[in-house]
Amino acid sequence: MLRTAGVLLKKEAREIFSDFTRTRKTADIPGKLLTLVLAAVIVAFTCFVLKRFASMYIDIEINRVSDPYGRLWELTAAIYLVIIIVNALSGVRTINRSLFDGGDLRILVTLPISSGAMYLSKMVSAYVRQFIFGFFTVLPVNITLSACIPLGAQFYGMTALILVLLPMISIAVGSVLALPVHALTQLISSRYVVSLVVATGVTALAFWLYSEVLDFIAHLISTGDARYFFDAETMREIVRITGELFPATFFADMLLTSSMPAGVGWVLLITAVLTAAGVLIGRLMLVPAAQNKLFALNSRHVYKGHGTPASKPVFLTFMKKEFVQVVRTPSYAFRYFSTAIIMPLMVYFCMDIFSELVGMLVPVDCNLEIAVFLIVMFGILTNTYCAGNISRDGEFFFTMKTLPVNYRTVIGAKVAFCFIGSAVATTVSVGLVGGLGYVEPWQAVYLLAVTLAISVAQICFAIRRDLGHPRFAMAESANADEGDSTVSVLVIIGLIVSVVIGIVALYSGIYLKLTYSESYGETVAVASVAAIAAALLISALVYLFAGLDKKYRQVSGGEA
Amino acid sequence: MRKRDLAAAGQSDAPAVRVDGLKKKYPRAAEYAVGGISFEVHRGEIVGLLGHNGAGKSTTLKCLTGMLPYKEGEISVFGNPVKGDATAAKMCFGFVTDDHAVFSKMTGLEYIAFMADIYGVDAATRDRRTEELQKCFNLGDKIMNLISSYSHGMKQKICMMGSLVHDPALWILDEPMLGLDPTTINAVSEFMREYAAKGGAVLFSTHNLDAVRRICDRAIVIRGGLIEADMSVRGIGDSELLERFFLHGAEAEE
Repeated sequence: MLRTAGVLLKKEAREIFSDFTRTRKTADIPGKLLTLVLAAVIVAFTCFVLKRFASMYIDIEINRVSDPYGRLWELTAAIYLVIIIVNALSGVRTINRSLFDGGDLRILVTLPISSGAMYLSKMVSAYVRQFIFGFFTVLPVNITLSACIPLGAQFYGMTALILVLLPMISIAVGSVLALPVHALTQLISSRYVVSLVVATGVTALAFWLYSEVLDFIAHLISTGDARYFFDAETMREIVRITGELFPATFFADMLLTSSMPAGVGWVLLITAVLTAAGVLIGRLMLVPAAQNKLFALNSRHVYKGHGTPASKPVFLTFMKKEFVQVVRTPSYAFRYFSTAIIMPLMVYFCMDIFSELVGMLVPVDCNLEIAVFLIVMFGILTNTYCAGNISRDGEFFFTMKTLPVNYRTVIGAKVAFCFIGSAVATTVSVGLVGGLGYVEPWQAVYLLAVTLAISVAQICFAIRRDLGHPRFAMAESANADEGDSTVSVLVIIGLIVSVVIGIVALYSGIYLKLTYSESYGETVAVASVAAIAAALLISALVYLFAGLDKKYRQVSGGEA
Repeated sequence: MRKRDLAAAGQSDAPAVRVDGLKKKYPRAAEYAVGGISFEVHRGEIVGLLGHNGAGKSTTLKCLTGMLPYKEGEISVFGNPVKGDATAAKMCFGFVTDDHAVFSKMTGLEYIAFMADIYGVDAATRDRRTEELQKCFNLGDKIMNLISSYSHGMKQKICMMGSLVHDPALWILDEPMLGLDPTTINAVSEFMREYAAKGGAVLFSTHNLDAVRRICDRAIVIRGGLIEADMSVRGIGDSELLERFFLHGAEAEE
């Protein structure tokens, strides 16, 4: 069994590291770099905020009595509760992917491989994934905490033990919850409208919560209100609540107190019990999951047509094709509709925070410049849908080439369809910013023109790039394989463009307004951003349409 | 405008298909997939493009339908060139791909309507035509279901129905019998014969010798991107000769 498990583990390892071993042409290097940079930024930002907050929190006195290690214990218990929840959720995701998403189990189940070997290889692979995830959640937090106050060898030794045990706990929780979570996701995904509404609602709620928490912490740190917020009564309540945050309290004991042996004992006991339950349930689920017996019937979204469609002009026929493709594929529908709905909310939340922060820093009105930056940035993130515009057609793209329609109709319909979603989201965002009085009516019109021009530029660029590197889905009704670099390149360039526009707008807005006059600064900012938008639009149109006919004919192979 | 185009499509006296010196090489390939072939297909004919895997049959059909670009040689459909903007040529034929590349997010009926709109077929004609095609291909109520829920054979049938909705003068099929059950193969064969009897031309690729013997008037045997034989399969002894060409190549004749 161990030999077979070893062979399977090699296969799992190849899959985990396949992104790094693919040929240079197909590897998504920009995507990997972007992920690393974004992960580093998120970790660095979290650690920065935590450091500031922890330094302030451990100095808090209750009835004029200082107890920095007591405060650190409360903070550690609260943070570890979050870490345990995040790791458990990640464990559920990892186990669900291992059991239900990978097609390999269906092949392995037909081979002379014992279920024990399959289970062992899957769990070892899951452990490695969870260890890496735990490493990047536990270690930065513990290093940050140790930078706030001197901590002894116990803290570092127990950190190492937690790094070993936490993946086991998360996998065990994942195994126990995998089946109910899978059943729930299948139930939701089989109800199309419900799944779309739930996904949109949850994403919007997550962004709202994130912005609220960020706003609250920024407010506490920047104003120094923290000391007033954490008064004696509040602190007593915090002490009481954190004392009941099981099992996070055991982790805090392990790391910080003399009750370390008891803490270790409890954590080991929890790990053993959960692992036993996880192994039992995991083994029981493995073979049925491999045979696709668990809720397989719910997995397909069923649609029955109604009546005979009306006759339409060719361009509208292609527009309808794009619409049908989006509306009948839940993941595309989420990316097309939900992101368009969420974009105005994000613009609103961020406009609120940025406007307040910049207003505190400089005595000039920079709302137009901030709005330009935010709408361009969120518009670019919303438009990533169009990065798979060609690939999404799959093999049908080749069939279209045998039909009596020219490339302008096919590509034009794609540009138009993407533009509709983008234009609605941008217009609502601008309407919100204008309606809430952040900008003047004429500024709103200008904002709309500039951001729409950049949206069109992005759509044209994305479509042309996808035409150059299409990744057609091979399986029937499968989603386009968007694992190549088109999406990453689009996001990277988009973020660079939005940052450049933001810097140009804010520099002109703030520096020139303070140095010369408000009207001069505003004129320069407006003109500079308009010039960048026009240049981007013209470049993207030329990039898309120059040699498009030849490129369109070349897609299936050979020179035109 | 579109209706006029459709009415005029395939009315020319020129051959339904004329391939002259077609050569096709894929990027970075060492050898030609099609090494210079010439043939014609005329109205009322059923022609089988016969060859083993990798012989160049599909490449030829893909060049002919505009799916693949090519540099060397000329192809025309009812006198309309396929190189460059081949819209006029494409109006004359219906094509069934070998991989059932249909738009699987549509229902069968929506797919036929989609194809009809592209060829400029009005709604009344489309509905009448769909009814006629249903009699032959018999998808029943399943025509209202998403194509992604169809079986292999049903997908083949909806591809064929979509390719025929504009009543083309030329029907091109790439490996049409692959994976079909015997009943459907019989129905498709019968439909091809009726179609040719009404003056339509049929050109299909296959590696199934028996299908060519049963259905075709003429067979073009391709091997290594070149034509080995272009012969009738209706005469006495033609069948054995075709088999020798297909299995052993031109050397067998010498």
